[in-house]
Amino acid sequence: MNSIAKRLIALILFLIAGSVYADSLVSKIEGLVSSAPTVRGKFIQSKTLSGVSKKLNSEGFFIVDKSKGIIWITEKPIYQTLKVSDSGIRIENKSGVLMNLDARSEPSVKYINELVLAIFSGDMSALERLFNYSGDVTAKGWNLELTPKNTASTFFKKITIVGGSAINRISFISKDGDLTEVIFSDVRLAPVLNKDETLQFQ
Amino acid sequence: MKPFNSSKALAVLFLSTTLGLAIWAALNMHVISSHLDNNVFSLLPKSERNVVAEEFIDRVAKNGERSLVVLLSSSSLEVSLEAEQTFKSLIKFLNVKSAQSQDGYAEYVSKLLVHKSGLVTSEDISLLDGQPAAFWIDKSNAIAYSMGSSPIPWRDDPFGLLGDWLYSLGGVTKVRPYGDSLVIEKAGTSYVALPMEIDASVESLSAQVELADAINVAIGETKLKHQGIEILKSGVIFFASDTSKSIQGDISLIGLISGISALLLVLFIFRSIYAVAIVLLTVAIGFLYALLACFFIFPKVYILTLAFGTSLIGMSVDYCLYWLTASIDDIKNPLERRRYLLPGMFLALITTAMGYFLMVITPFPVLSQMAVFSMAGISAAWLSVVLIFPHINKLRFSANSSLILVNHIQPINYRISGAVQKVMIAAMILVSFYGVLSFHSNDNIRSLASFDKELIAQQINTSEILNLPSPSQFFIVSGSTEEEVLSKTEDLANKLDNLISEGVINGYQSITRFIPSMSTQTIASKAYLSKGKENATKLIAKEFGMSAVWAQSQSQVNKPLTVNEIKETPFYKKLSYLWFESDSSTIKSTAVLLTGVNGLEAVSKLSQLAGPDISWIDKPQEISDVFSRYRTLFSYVIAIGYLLTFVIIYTKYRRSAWRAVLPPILATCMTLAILSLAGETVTLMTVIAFALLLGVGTDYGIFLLQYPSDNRVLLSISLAALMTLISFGSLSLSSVPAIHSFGIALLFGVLLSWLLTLFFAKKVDISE
Repeated sequence: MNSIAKRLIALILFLIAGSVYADSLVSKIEGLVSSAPTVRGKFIQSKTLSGVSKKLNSEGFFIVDKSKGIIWITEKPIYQTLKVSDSGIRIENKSGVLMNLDARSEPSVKYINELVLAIFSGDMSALERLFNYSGDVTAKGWNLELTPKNTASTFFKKITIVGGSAINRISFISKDGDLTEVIFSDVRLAPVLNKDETLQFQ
Repeated sequence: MKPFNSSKALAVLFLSTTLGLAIWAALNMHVISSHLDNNVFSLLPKSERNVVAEEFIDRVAKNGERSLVVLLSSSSLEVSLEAEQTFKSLIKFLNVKSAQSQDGYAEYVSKLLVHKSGLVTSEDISLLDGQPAAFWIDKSNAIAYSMGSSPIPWRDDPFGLLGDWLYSLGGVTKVRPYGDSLVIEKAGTSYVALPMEIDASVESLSAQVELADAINVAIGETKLKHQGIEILKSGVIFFASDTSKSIQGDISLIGLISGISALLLVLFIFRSIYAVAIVLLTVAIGFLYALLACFFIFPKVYILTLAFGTSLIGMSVDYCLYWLTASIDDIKNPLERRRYLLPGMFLALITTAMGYFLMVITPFPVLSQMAVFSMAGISAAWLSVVLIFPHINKLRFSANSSLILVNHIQPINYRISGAVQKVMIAAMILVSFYGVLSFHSNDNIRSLASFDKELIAQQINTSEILNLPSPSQFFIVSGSTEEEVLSKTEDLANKLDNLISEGVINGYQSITRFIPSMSTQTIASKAYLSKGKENATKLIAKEFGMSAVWAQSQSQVNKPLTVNEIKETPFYKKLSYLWFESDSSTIKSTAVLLTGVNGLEAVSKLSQLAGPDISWIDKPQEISDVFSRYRTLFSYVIAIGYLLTFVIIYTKYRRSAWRAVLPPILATCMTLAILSLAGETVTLMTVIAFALLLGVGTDYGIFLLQYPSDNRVLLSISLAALMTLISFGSLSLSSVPAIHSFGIALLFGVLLSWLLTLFFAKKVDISE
């Protein structure tokens, strides 16, 4: 399967901000987390690639719209945007398109997009179909550990999500030993996108 | 007294051998029954032209035999996935396991990494040729800073080139993992695909039928539990189970009809339980030898053979009847009677065996086996009659009312006036001409076997949804070296790409997608060394703190990937069926498979791509050609057969010889007329039936010429005709088109042949 598609399945997990699972763990987390049709916030990502000594730190912001998809914009140290919608997945920088994945040629795009929408409309059954999970909830917050159901067809080992009323942190470990950690801040909910945000989706 | 003793010794020898075989067969029944086979692929004729194509079909057959797939769909993917769980739990304890696994993918990727300079997509090649260092720096950063990580670590594929190449392989199948399920999209519907493999423990036909039934029950229960769920199934096992059920039904029906009629007939004529017992024994001996002959000669005994083999009942009974009728009111010593009957019976055996012999030499394994079964069976029955019957003293019968029936047949015939006779002959000739001119031939594969329409529809539907390549229409590319084969295949693939854009086909599967030719890899490697990328690598190495050795390793040409290289990886198993090489031949070959071949026009366009080393294989067409060729060939063989038979008979009976030969000829032509009026088509099996009619039909005439005034001969040929009529006629009730064709041709053929033999018989005063 395509590397970008797989990378993006992982990406989706960063964006868990709505309610979570349907069992007691899930409903407890659901009780803590608030949800809305649109979400935006800032992120700081630090990444350790296996065999690469340099630690890759980046930051930027994200916007999610249930009806349109998601936009993930890295501002530092390089500028690039990632858009996920039901028609495709695309990575661009200022000079143009770096990678493009069309939903017509790659069926996974549809599932990834569906998954995004499922997460943000509070439908956790989609996640449940994809992952085994465990975790715990305290008065202050919660954490959730996801492992793939089918280890042969996925290349990541483990995903950990930590949150309170909103998502705080996600970490991601690949089979090859790459480690990605994302810390969220300033996560805000709203019923609709504002004018600037709408323009980003154009 | 000496001949008597040796004859007795032979009889004892035959009986004890038979008894030994029977005991052996009884003790090894499970071994014999495990050799029963209903593999639909076994019906296909062996190719006469392309050995590789044959091996490919064998491979597909071997794989296909053990795999099946179930597709679940509904208005929502969620419901379909729930239904899949239900279905999985229902089949948990059955002898099938899920065939979904991507084990060895990592090993495959690591194999590719040491050849990565040659594995670049054509899009990336033009980017490498055109884009400056800045582009490659951006791309490398994009990958490094993106979310999560990729299946190929950044350090091994800093520009995502191998990743792009791997992505291009994704086009081969549109099935995608989804959690621990597989999902595929087609025309807006999501299907959950559940590929399964049948356990090796499911060997016998009965175990296959049992498994197919259990899966069908699970499908039914899943549908019941989840409203609105659609389930498609496909797999050889469903066809095998379905046809074996209908063939078993055939065997019981045909066997019952011909068995009971034979016994009733014997009981009616001879009024003796002894006669019935001896006939039963003969039939049993015939079956024993027939079955064992097939068991020892062939690796598998097709269930179709057994269905056809039920006609053996009639043939075996025939020989009994010749003996039994001859013993009515016969004062001759049994051994003298044998000497009296032997020439006629021997001729009958030989002519019948000749008819079957034509079936042996067809390239259809199942037909050859039917013929071997029949030849072994009738020979054994013949030997039982000739060796054992003379030593059974109780086999003496007196004339009874049944013989009177026969006494009336000929006089009726003799009373027909000359004028009426002439009109009848003219009518027969007219009908014969009509028959020869009007019949419709049918050489379609479906004339050999038919399958349930619903199952076929599901099979086609599943293949379309999963975009499976056709196992019967494909290309074979050959060459003396691997490189030659791969580059020729790439040329073909380029032409196929054009056909895809023209909409002639949907796609193709070629090994060159996974292993490009060396020349293609050389072109890629050249682009891989582009200045832009090389400069970008140096800058990135500095930025990411990578060593100079690393930077150098990213700008070097690797050895090209070869078939041998990935042969050892588990991933190769998925490709191995496309590649052919052997130690015994220097020729290497590969199969190029096609998906979505639409219509005859597409087939004709594809066939035009064939060249000196590129063969276009069209199995259905090939089968039709084989059918047609053998149908024509056998027609000539039959014509020559009649000529030879006439010559032989002429040497003995001179001007009366036509009386034995003309009836089966006219019967054949008139049967053609009847078939064409009834809307039946003439298949290879019809022609084989006519060949058998040559053997059986001329017998009647020969017997009448040999013993013109022996009323018992008239009785015996009439009974033999009746028996043949019943046993072969009941084959026409078969649900298998091939057996039906054979049966219906012989039903009319034998009836007409018998009637015409009597009609054309020399006038003799029987009362003398």
